[in-house]
Amino acid sequence: MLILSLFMSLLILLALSIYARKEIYLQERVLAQMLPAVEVRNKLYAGFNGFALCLDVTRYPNTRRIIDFISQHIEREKVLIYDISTFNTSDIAMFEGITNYYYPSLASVKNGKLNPHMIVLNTFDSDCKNRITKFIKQSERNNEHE
Amino acid sequence: MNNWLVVLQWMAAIVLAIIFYKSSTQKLKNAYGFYRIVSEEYKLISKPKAAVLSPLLAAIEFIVVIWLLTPWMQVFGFIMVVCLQVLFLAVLIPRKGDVLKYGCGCFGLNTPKEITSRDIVRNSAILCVASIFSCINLLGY
Repeated sequence: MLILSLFMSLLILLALSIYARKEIYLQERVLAQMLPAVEVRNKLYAGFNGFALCLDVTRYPNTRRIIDFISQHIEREKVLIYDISTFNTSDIAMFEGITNYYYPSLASVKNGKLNPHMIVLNTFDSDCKNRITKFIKQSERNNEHE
Repeated sequence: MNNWLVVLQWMAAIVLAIIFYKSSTQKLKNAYGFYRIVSEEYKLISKPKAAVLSPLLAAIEFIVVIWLLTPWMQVFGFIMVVCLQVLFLAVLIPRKGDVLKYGCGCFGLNTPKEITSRDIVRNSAILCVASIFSCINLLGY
């Protein structure tokens, strides 16, 4: 009985370790695809127009799935995707006029300036995806009018 | 073993199992967060080693839960709790007062957190309870 229990424990240990290791690998891969702070700053200072998707995959690992969803609705060149955990305090200063930067969030960007009325991404909200699509359409409409 | 001692042991095992279940599932759900705590906040081991050891540590905590709730494995569960708590305290005590960006990784992740005396006392209390029941079982009372 003891040997069997130890054997079963070893199997569970291996399975859980492999699962967690895979999660780490996936998160690292997602982070590697995100824009570094320097690139985000350069684009904003160059008067970027579009959207800014700010994630924090270290604290909110499930939000990495939102990237695929956003990519279906916005062209990749029109969205800056970055992870706030890779930014330091001085990097945050590039977001002029934003006093409280909520993340994970999606904000519209006009001439390199983020609109403070951003949408906070809550993956536990069942209506989150609908709210995102509405926000994208509304922001694009506003940009066209302006 | 006295009946009241058996009851006490089971109560301790269940409480410890709940604590370790919460801790391990949080670490497994956010394996990357825990990996960053181990590799960047505590800086105990290199990143490649942390990528292997942090998932293993979270998995060991989960195994402890199963052992604590399995009558014939309970004593191993208590011993493992003692080993883990000694390790956690050895890591926590030198960093008392430090503010960690993703929490201390003790029994919760995510929020920036200072390592306080409360964290150390809580871990020490768990160590004491587990040590008492390990000794009782090993000495055959």
